[in-house]
Amino acid sequence: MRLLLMIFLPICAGLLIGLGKSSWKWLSFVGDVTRVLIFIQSCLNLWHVWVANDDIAYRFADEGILGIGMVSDHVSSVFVVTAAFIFLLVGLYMRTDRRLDSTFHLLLLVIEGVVIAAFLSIDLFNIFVLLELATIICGIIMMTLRDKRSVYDGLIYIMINTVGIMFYLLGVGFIYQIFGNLDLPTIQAQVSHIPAKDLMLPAAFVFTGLSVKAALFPVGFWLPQAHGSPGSPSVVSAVLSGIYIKITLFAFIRLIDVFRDVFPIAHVILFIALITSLMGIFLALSTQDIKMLLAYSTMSQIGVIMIGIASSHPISYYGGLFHIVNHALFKSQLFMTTGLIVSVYQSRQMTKIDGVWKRSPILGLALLLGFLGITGAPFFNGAVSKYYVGQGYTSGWMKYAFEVINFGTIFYFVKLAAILKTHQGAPSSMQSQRKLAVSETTSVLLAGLAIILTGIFGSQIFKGMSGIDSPLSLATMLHKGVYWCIYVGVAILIHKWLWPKISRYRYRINAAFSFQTMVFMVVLLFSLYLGVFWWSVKA
Amino acid sequence: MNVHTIVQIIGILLFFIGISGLILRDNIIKSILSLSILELGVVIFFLGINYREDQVAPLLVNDMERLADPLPQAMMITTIVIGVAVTSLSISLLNIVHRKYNTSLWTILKEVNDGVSE
Repeated sequence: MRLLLMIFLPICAGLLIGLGKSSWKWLSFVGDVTRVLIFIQSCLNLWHVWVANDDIAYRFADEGILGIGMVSDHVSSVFVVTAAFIFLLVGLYMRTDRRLDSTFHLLLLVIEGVVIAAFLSIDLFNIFVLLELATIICGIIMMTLRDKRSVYDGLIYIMINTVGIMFYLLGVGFIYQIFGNLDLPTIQAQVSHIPAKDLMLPAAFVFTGLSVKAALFPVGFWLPQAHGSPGSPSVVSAVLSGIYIKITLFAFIRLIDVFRDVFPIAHVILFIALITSLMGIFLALSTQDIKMLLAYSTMSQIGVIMIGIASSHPISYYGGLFHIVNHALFKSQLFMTTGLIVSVYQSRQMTKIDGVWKRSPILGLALLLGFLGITGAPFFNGAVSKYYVGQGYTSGWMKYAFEVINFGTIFYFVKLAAILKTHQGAPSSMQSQRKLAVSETTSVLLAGLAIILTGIFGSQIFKGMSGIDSPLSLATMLHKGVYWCIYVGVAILIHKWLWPKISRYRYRINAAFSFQTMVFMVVLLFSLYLGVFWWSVKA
Repeated sequence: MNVHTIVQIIGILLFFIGISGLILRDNIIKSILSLSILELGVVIFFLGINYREDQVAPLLVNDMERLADPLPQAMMITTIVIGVAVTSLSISLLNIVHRKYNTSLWTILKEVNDGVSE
């Protein structure tokens, strides 16, 4: 029952403020109260699941195949708390933003309910409905400011995601025909009794669809455009990159678990995730746009998460799940902070922004916290989850590939962190006299605090999620810290001396593919999955 | 070949016709139409699941042996509703795009937007 409360309370509150003709204060009051209530409820749930060690399950029908179920287990309850926390911060952040009307407030509350439902749902068709609903709502809130660029980005985003979800739905149809039900635990229990050649098509369809939505290579090029769209407010980017993409990843992970023993899906995902991550780094280095850099970084971090998931080592697998939580925290924090920086400097180009630390120490501190989190500085959450992900790849070429990804992340974030410093001769007249509201700075600092806390209590949270006791000793952390310092030092040196010298070879890539090319890539990916599955069945 | 196998094959064919429309056509209206065809393919595919010649509607007869499977139909009603939402949203967006850019071709839109971002 309490699971239903978390889903329907925000939706009903949203309708309440959407239907009435409401004043500004009333809008933010109802929204804030709802978000606080949901956050408290999600924390109580987490407490119940972790301390009493008892999963909360809810079924609409009594038993049997028609039971549409929701489960809050050790992992999904953490995701729900994270989502509720980020929505709380987002609500605080946009309190003073008068450009956002009551429709925006309505949709933001609705999407909170949808996201929580998607994390809890264990029914394949419900997951389809919730993912598609979330896509449509995110598409609408992207266009809140009615900027013409964001309408174009929104159109591509909605259409390519619908193509993806239809692949998924067709796969679900095959699965229903074979298994006779759509309940994930039941399917997982029965999957070993079905001949693998019958499962080839459904698996290929489902994984293609979810790869499109999870923005993996080569079908994920809609993501930078949608998440870093110049015309959409930074609140929307924080929600999209912080939470929306996570519900797809979570559905993807659940389906990988189902088919893991039947097909070599983990190997394919590892290969694709590696390319996604390197591609994200490559693109992030080529851009000067601050929001696009964060969007490309999301691509690369999705790769890191999937690398963890693809491992057969349990610590690495749960490390990937933990990285989802951490990425949600620091990416939404970074999007909100850079949103404030952009509004102060009136420019998105990194070359035109400098001296953030001098202009506003609070913003500088917030950006620094996000930087330390995502690059994996010792005692911050990124370091903890990346350490756990790396545990599954302690030998062989993957170890070095993972280090390359770590260094790449640090390398392009050093480029971003350069805006903290004051350069000589930089244009200073660009700054507006905008005063930052207390609620805006509080929200980014609170998110920064969460980054530190999840870092310090990282091994405890990891133990709660996975049940594996793998403490992180101080010596390991310091060992990682030395590596981190070396990487940052090398990155700064390269940026200072080598980068300007090779600047005339600097590449400029246009990663914005046309819609037709994207759909063509979806078909290519489908044939890749089908080919690999067919080959594994034959072998 | 059974009736439901034929229905399902038609569904998959329509799905891939929709996909080829999305790849080959430049006009956004045609893309939206192709998307609808693709959705229709999925719906038809689902309707063929668990079909039997002698089945009866679940509400009318209390004959457990011959009951039709109600689940695919219930799911497809939801899918159709979502499809309508996506189509109408895409068309309204296309309307705005056409008003602001004065074109409804993907290639021209892409050229204009690439020029802006550089």
